[in-house]
Parts: sequence; structure tokens; C-alpha cells
Amino acid sequence: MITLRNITLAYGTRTLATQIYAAFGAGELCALIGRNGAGKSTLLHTIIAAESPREGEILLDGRNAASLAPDELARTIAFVGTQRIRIANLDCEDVVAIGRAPYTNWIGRMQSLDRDMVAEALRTVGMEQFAHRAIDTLSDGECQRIMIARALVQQTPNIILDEPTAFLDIPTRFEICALLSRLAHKEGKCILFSTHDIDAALPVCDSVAVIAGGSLHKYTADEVREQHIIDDLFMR
Amino acid sequence: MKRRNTILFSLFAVAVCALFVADIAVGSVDIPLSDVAAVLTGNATDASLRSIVIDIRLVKAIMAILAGMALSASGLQMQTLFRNPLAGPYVLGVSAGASFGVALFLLGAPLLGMAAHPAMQTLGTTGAAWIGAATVLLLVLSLARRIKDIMVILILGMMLSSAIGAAVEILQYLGNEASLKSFVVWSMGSLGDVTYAQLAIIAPVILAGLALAIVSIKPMNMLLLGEEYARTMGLDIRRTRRIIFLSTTLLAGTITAFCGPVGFVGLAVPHMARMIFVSADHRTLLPASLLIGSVMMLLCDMIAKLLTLPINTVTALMGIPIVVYIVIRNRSLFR
Repeated sequence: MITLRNITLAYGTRTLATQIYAAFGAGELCALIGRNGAGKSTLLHTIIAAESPREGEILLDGRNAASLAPDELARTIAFVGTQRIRIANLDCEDVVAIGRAPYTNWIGRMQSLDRDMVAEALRTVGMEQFAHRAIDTLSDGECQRIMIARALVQQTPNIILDEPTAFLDIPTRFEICALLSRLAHKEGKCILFSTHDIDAALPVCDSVAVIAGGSLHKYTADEVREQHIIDDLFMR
Repeated sequence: MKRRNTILFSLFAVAVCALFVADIAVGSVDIPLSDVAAVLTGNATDASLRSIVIDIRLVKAIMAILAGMALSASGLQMQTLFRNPLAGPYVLGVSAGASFGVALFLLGAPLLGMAAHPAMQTLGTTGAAWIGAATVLLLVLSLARRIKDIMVILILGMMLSSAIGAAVEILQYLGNEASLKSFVVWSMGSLGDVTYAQLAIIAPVILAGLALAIVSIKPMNMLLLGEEYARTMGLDIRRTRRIIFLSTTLLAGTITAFCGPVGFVGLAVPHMARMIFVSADHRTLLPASLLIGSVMMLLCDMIAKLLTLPINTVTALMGIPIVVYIVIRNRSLFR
């Protein structure tokens, strides 16, 4: 559950959006859309507390995000970014295992429970046969699945993804969206992801948040389909 | 893979022990291994033999191991913190900063008529090296926070090193003959000028630095994915930076203070560890770097003694081909 209360977003000295009120619940898959520079990425980074909002507060499962200690935050919300991860000699399994960091001891020792979770997360994203492949030998789509698996083992009720379908071919975009849908609707996660890929996202989403003209509006997926909101946003 | 690395760890541990004894045996007078063993186990009767082994060579061999471990550990930490395969205490100007501190102390202070008491010489040199190393690290780190581009940071580190080098040359030009000599001797590097009294300072400081490196193993593994991911997985970035920063200053600063600027060990050894142990996990890489660093420094020390060369020329000539090989072999590292 993510609640935004009277958020003002700014990038440097430029104010991007004001008076943002929105709530995203458990089991809800929401796509965040908007034009380049509208503030999608800034909003997501504000929600994961990497940046602080110019004004307002963010509640994660009812608790103020700014007041959470780093490890508490890491057990509440997970993040998948746009960075490409290319590390030689690091197996996919080990990349996913790093996601257990908020639960492991000072040196990161994996218990059998942790290892089971890593294996299960790899199965969930359909990458179990890649467990012992080095991450730098994977395609972008495979790499994205691994990073999602890494977010899953953090066992957070909320997951934020910044453009998870960027750089991917069209079938892979649909596959990633279907995977996000499974995670939200079967596992009850609250998932918010930014995207430009409305065709792949709209069929699986419950809601769509649109940042445009300095404010954020949230619609149900049905409203978006019926009311030409996308046309208004991009065809203006 | 686990079993392979266990075997490799054992092999390197044996190599360190063997080279440690061999390093004591090699020198201006070659001492038979049996005599070395006799002295080390306390069964030797010849007083002059004992004196050479215990007072001169043993200290030097211990220093070689400490230097190898310290420089390799600091190189590994920097490569991970800066996410840069070319980072190392030498490249980023940390050694240059330590040199500048020492130059200010050895060359600058006499110019101002503040000649240090001989008893204060060591302490002053060490302190100056620490302060110099810490200042440069702080500067590079604060630049690195504003500038994300790896190449820019490397170029800035090189420029910083060159600027410091120029400042050191000015001090050399202005310095008087006696202080100039002590600085030049220091800058050529040596493992052999260390006494047991100094070792009593060096060893605990290096061990403290290594303890901090061990504490930063998990943070470094998280930093493999970048600071953004590390933060969202619960890493306190500022605290981690402080720990790695302190550790590197203690490790690289102390070794530079006592042995002079020793280059390329900190840069090359972590790469050798990655290649030989086929891993990116710091739980493997840190101990591997410590062992490989010890082996490399002991080998360099033996070569330096056999050919009577300054140690930093040997580490450069051994380290550079390794770095070149790694750069050519893993071009993908730099993309």
C-alpha cells in the first residue's frame, strides 16, 4: 500500500508536479505514464526515498517513508531500475541472492530458507535454468527478469519498477507485463511501474496514473480504454 | 566451483608460507633454508645468523606480507566503491596525496625552519601520509558523488596526481640537500627500513584496516549492483562510504608512509583474484586478494633484493603487464 499525500515534485529548481494525492493498494498493478521529463522517474525515486519530495509525505503501509531506517525500508518496498547490470563472474543466482541482504547477517550468509526463496523467485520469473549462468551473458529481457526476481526475494509488499519494458523487443514486453500481472494478482503485491508502452501495459493493468500538465491523475484501466486519455496525452 | 576455490585457497596459503621462508633466505648473503628454519624454530646457535634473519630479513618479509595485503584490499575496495576496474590507491591519487603529505613534512617543514626531532621523524612521516591520503580520497570521493561518469573521475584522479606531483617537485626544488635526500630515498620505496618498534605501530593499524575491509564485505557485494540498488536493499550508503574510506586511508596511507609509493599492486591483484577464482563475491575476493597480494609482494621483494632495485620499480614492472593483459582480455569491463 503506497499513499501519496500532497506531494510536490521538483527536479533541481524546476517544479514538475504539485498537489499529488494518490493511493495504490495491495494486489493493484498500476502503470505510470507521461511524456519524457514529466516527472515519472522523479516520482518513483521519491517513493523509494532515494529523493525527498519538495513538499508532502509518502506513506508505505501506513508508515512515513522518510522515517523508516534503511533496512526497514528495504523490507517494505523493492525497486527495479533502468540500469543495465553487467558484472563478470557473477551468477544469476548470486545476483538474486543479494536481494536477501535486508534479512541476512553481517557477512551476508545464506541460510537454507534464503536459498529456497532464491530458487522460488527464479522459478516465478521463469529463469530457473539460468541460475548458474553469469549475468553478463544474458539478454536484456533475461536480465530484467533476474532483477525482478531479486526484488521478489526482498519479500516486500510493494514493488516499484522504472521502465521495466524499455530496451526490450515486443514479445518480451508483453511477457514482462504478464509477469507483473501475476505478481500483483496472484501474490497480492502492490506494483507501480513507469512505462511508455501502453499497448503492453493496458491489458494487464488495474489502473493507470498519468502525469501531465503539472499534476497526477489516476484512472481505472477501463476509463483509459474508453475515454481516449492516451490520445489526449500524446496527440496534443 | 566451491571445491575448486578451496583447493586454490590452500595452494595460495602454502605459496605464501613457502615464499615467506624463501624471502628470508634470499639476500646479499644467501642463507640455506635449513638455517632459516632453524632460526625460526629457535634452534640456531650462530648469533650473527640469528641477527640477520630475525632483525633484518624477518621484519622485511612480514612487511612484504602486510604491504601486499593492505594494498590489495584497498584496491579491491576502491574498484567496488567507484565501480571502476581501473581504480586503485595509486591511480586515484591516494598514494600521491600521501607523498605530498610526506614531502610537506620532510621538505617543507625544514624550509620554514621547523626541523623535526629525529625521534619524531617516523611519527611525522606517517601522520603526514595519512592526512595526505585522506585529503585526496575525500576530494576524489566528493567529486565522484557529483560526477557519475567513470572516465571523468579517472581523468580527474590522474590530473590530481599530476598536480600533486608538480607541487612535490617544487618542494624538491626548494628543499635543502639533506632533507631532499631523505625524501628521494623514501619515494623510491623500501620494505627494509622498518624496525620492530615501527612494526608494532604498523601491524595493528593494518589489521584494523583489514578488519574494516571484512566488515564491508556485504556492503561491497550490494554495491556490485550500483548505489541505487544497494540503497533500496537497505544499505546505508554514507556509513559504508565512511568505513571503506577509513579502511583505505589506514591501509594505503600507512604502507605509503613506511614503504614509499608502491604502485600497481592495488590495481592488479584484485583483477587477478577475479580471474583466478572466477568470482565477483567479496567473500571470496577479499581473502583471495589478501593471499595473492602477499604472494606478489614477497616475489617482488625477492626480485628487488636479488637485483638490488627499489621495490616500487619491481612492482610497477610486474604489475603493469598484468594490468595490460587484463585490459585486453576483458575489454567488456570498460564498456
